[in-house]
Amino acid sequence: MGADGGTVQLTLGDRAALALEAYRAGVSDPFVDVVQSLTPLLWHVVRAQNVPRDLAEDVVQGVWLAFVRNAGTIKDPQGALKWLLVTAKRAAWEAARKHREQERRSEPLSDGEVRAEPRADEPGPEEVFLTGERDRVLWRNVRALPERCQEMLRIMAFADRPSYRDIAEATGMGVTSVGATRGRCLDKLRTLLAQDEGWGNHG
Amino acid sequence: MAEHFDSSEPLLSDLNALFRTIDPVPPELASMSLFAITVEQLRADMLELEHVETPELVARSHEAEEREVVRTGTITFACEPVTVMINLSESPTGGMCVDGWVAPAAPYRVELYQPGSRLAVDSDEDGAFVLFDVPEGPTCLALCRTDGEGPTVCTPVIEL
Repeated sequence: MGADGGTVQLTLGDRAALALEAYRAGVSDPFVDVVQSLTPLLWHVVRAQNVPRDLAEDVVQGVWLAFVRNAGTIKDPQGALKWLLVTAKRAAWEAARKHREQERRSEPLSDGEVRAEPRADEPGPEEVFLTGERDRVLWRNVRALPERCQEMLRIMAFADRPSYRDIAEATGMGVTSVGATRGRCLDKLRTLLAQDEGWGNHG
Repeated sequence: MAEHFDSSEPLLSDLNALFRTIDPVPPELASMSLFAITVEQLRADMLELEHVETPELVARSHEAEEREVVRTGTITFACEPVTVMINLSESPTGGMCVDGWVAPAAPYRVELYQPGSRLAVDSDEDGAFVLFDVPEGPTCLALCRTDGEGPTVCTPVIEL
């Protein structure tokens, strides 16, 4: 569906506003559609915070529950997307923090032992899924980026341009710097890819 | 479903495909979220029944770590003045058969909620009902008398 198909493409912000208004009005179909279309963005916002997959599922469900609980207090429907993103990010921080604490408690280290602790979103199993050389090269270089850039690009890959402002605020980035940061992270990735012989053959 | 990335930037489109592959959104996540909302609304609007008697293999709550699977058996729920007993068995066609009985005896409207679906059936005059071919998964029943008398009640979430 798109403008060329004769229908108007709703922005993510419009969709979140629609979800809020549909929910308040007790209209279920549009609300269901919007939950389905915004869930991938929330998922990646949460997963970008190193929340393990099973916990991330609970976090995303919790964000939607919180959204309907607070449906009466979100004043401006156009603020609904920002509300969702900020809530997702905070809940993800909290879940990641609890998870780290739990891990620490359940696996005490003996003296002098250094445990190589994989990040929750670290590869390993993921790479198994990457059958194409092009994807493997891309993933290798994404992981070489600073963490902040990885998070930024992952979220941007599931967001439309009009929502960048909301994303900026949710990720604690200045509104004015979000475009610049996105550009810088993409430039860094391009530079890395340009130096990677594997990409030259595919990019 | 519409794509939600800035398609004017080819690298973002590559990244979108990459993350879809390495970290796909769990396919049931949106419907589970909607189900959680439904259950919360049911709880807000209705009296929640409590487990009175359960077979050994029964889910006590919807908390992921406590989730167990009901195979077959009879579960009793109650909340004064309503008692609901449901018997679970495997349908010949593969799903679950949920037959139950509500007291005090009266015709009830019985609704069975699962992620992404809702089944409804009316009980007979004695409060007996049966739902065939119920898919496995988290499930919540809501019951109200068709004459509008008495409280509307719902069960805790059980995992069929």
